[in-house]
Amino acid sequence: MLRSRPASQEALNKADERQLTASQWQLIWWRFRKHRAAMISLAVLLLFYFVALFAGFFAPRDPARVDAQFAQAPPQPLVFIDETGFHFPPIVYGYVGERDPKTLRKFYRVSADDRHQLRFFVRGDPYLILGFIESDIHFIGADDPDSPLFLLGTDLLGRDMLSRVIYGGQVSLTVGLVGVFLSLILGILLGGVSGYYGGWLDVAIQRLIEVLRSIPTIPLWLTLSAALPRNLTQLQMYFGITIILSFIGWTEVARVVRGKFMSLRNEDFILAARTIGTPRFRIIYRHMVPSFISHLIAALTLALPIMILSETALSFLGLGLRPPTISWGTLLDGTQNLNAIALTPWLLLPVVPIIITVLAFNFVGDGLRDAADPYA
Amino acid sequence: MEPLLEVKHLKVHFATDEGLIEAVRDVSFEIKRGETVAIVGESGCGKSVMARAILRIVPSPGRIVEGRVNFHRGGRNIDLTALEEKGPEIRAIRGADIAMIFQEPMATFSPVHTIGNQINEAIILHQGIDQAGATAQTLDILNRVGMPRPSRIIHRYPHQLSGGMLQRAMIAMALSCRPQLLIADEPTTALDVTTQAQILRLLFDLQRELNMAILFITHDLSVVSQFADRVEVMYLGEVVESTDVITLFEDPKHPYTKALLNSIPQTGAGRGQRLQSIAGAIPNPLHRPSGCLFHPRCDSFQPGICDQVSPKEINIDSDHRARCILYDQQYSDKVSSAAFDR
Amino acid sequence: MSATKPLLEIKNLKMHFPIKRGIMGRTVGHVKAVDDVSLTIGEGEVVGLVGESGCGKSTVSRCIVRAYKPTAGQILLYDAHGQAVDLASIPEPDLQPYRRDIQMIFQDPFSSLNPRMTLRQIIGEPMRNYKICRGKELEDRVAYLLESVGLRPEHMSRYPHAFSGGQRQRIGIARALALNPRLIICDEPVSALDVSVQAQILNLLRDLQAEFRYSYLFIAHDLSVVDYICERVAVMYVGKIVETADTATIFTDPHHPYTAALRSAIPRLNPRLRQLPVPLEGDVADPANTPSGCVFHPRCRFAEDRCRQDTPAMTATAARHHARCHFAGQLDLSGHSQPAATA
Repeated sequence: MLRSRPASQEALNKADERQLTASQWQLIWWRFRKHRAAMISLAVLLLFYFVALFAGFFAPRDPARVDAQFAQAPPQPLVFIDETGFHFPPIVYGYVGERDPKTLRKFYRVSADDRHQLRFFVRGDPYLILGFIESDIHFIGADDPDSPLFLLGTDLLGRDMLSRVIYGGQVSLTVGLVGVFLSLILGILLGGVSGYYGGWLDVAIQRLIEVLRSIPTIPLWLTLSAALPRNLTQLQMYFGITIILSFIGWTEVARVVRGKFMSLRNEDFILAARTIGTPRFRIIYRHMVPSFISHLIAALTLALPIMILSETALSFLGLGLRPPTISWGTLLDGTQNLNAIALTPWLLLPVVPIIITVLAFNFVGDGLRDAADPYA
Repeated sequence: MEPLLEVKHLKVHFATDEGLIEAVRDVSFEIKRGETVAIVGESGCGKSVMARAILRIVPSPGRIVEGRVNFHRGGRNIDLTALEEKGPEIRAIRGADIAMIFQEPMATFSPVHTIGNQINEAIILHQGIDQAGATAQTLDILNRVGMPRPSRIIHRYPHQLSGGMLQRAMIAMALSCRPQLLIADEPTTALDVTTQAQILRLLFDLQRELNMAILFITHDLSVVSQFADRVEVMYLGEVVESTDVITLFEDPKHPYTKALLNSIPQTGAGRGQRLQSIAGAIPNPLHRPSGCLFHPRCDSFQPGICDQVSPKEINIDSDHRARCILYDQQYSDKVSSAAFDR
Repeated sequence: MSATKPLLEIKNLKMHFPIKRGIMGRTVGHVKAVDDVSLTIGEGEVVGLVGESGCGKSTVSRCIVRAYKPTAGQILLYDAHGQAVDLASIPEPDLQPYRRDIQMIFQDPFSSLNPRMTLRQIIGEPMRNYKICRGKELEDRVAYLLESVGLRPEHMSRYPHAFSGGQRQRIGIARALALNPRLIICDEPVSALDVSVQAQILNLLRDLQAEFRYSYLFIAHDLSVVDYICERVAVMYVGKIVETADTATIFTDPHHPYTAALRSAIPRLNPRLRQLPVPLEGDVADPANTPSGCVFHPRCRFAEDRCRQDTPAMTATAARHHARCHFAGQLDLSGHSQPAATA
């Protein structure tokens, strides 16, 4: 009854013309914008990716720099106001080393006696911007590059956790993206072939998908990653993992694509395209794929968190990426024993960006799913 | 004769993301006992929403913002709009005193229960009799709606029946409690002509038998001409013309009614005669025209009046009203005589 | 009206869809959607194909545009020199040159346009496909087509969602005209539209036909629409054509009981001529399980033993008038409707 019906052309003004000539993606964007949680999440994700892209600039230190002198130091709070007044940029207090009288174990305490003024855009450890431009400017740091600055504490070897989390994001945030992208390509190709041509090819692909999906995922991943040669470089290992992650992902995409192809084949506008002599390949890429790609992207956004969590799980188990590669999963590797958690709880902090990322992807995915079909 | 149902100044609004839709704006009419009133209109005219408002089943985000729906039952006068939407009073009236049938019978029946069970349940709920008595009544009513072999049909599931049969089953369920008013929302639109004829004949016969009033909602004027006593023509949420069925077809007053009647092809009219079409399309309910809602498409459009003033309902005679300034004394000197000829 | 040259000749067309059951996809029967249909459409002729839902009229149209490959029969398309090609049998890739001669207008103006393409792309696509023109020339031609169906050329950058149902139907018509076809199949082109818009589209289709002499195969369930636009009508029932005749005679003097019933089932637009006849009892036969003999016999009040056993053939009952009935021309169908129910 209330199916929205465009007004008579006379009743429309200039502002509406924009709406009438809006493409699919514009309509989706306008709808997506109304979804508050998704918009906030999108901003958070963009920030995360931006920070990961310029990790060297945002990380206060070189993530591999070992400061044995400050091993297992707790996080330093940023101090804006203390008895000496207001500080901007803020200051941090230094550490005092102490020894536990019972266990004789050495530990650090933050002490207000030792102050370090922080500055923005200071010179520090050298790094490469985007992998090729040399620089040593950091977003924040102490005047003296050797003074302790460990906002999230340090690990067993005295490496700065904050810097490691920021660098870890580079791997963890992209491993899912690449995995999803591979799933998408494989899924559209195999699902499309299956749905469009049908016949024995369809049967073969469908059976393959069923077999793959009936294998429990964790053991499958374990087996696959165990099969990866040990002597791979960090980059090779990274791609190895993405392929493993997309090994299952494509099956879901292929199923959706096949279903869409089959139902679209009977749509009036596809028949119309045939009657006006549109070549088969053009029907596929011009009429069929665009009509489900937005749904697919929404579905894959919801699949991304699973990929990120899977990478973390694999790396945590020591079967995914391995040190010295830094990822959120490998950072958590160090927290496998209870002792570590009791004495150095800040080593668990990489969990926080994981949770935020996963939640944000879920919200963005929800928003995309709601906006995906502007013609409904 | 005392009316059975009076709808007075009913307004139903939908607050959507895109804006406020005035689906029904200021609709008034009445239905007498045993009478058939047809609400005719095209998509977006608010006829279905209006019917649902009577039973208080307006889909969200729709809301009755104004008006009364007086239902006269056993000497008592109940304002249905004042009842609680999910309260016991309206539930007791729904299905028992006022029943409704829909265009899509599949939506009325649950797919997981047999037809017999579902009609039984309605009877037990409203009449408080036992299972055996209900089954006997179900068989009787199915027989009465012309269902072949009712004793077998009661064990069937909805998807096992054809469209026409399912429509009969829905009518049987609606009539199982002998309602005084049946609201029929496009009951034959989804059916073929031969099945439509069967269902219309059935409704006609049952109405005589049960002396019930029917509120018949449709877009099809030819069905109206064969079936209704009175007609309310709706356009964009307003009743634009209201009269008895003979007058409507022989002496329509509102330009919309006239144009609609002229635009329908008729068999036997021959190929020589060209159809008179109505210009333009039904406006988007979010972008209502100013003044008279029909003015952008009207042949008798009077510049300076129709696009500025909302026409009042004018009494053409005691039983014939039209919402058009052509019949308004106030503007009689300003309207060119040519406007009436069209 | 005169006997023109044939443009399309359908001969004994059959379209049987297999019913598959079980995991092995065993064929357990066939839905005989179209069963032995023969129909000729002349150059510039407007032929109506009417029937109730499920009678197979849309399947016929989809066989002509080869959305389905027919099970049997011929669909002969004649060129200007009278040379015929059988569209039912040539392989899909070889169809390309013939497709442009036959275009289609769809029932649902919402699903028949790709919502992701602008009018320029939708209407320009057929001309691109056949490399008729491109660039500025293509744009001019799209503008001309939009104008000829009553739309504004300056709207060609808009997407279909900007238009109402009636306007979308016009877009569909413009797309069908783009290749300058010889036959246009109109598959229920107005039944999804509002009453006040139907007349616009019917008038447009009539005007275009009068101007460009297209042939139409006009498929509809609404007899009054067919009466308005067609010269000749074929009535279908459960996969078979039961009667063909000129429009002028088929509704005044039907020779098949089904046509008579169909006619009397249409409500008149006159409240003084009230009649609520029940012309036919029962339901349309299931095309997967058709009755023996004449498919119409279970609902026919004239049925005799012969109708239950023998399938009637199409017989000529008058000039340009054929009916598939054993008693064609012998039955008194004029008083078919039951006495009027007094209002």
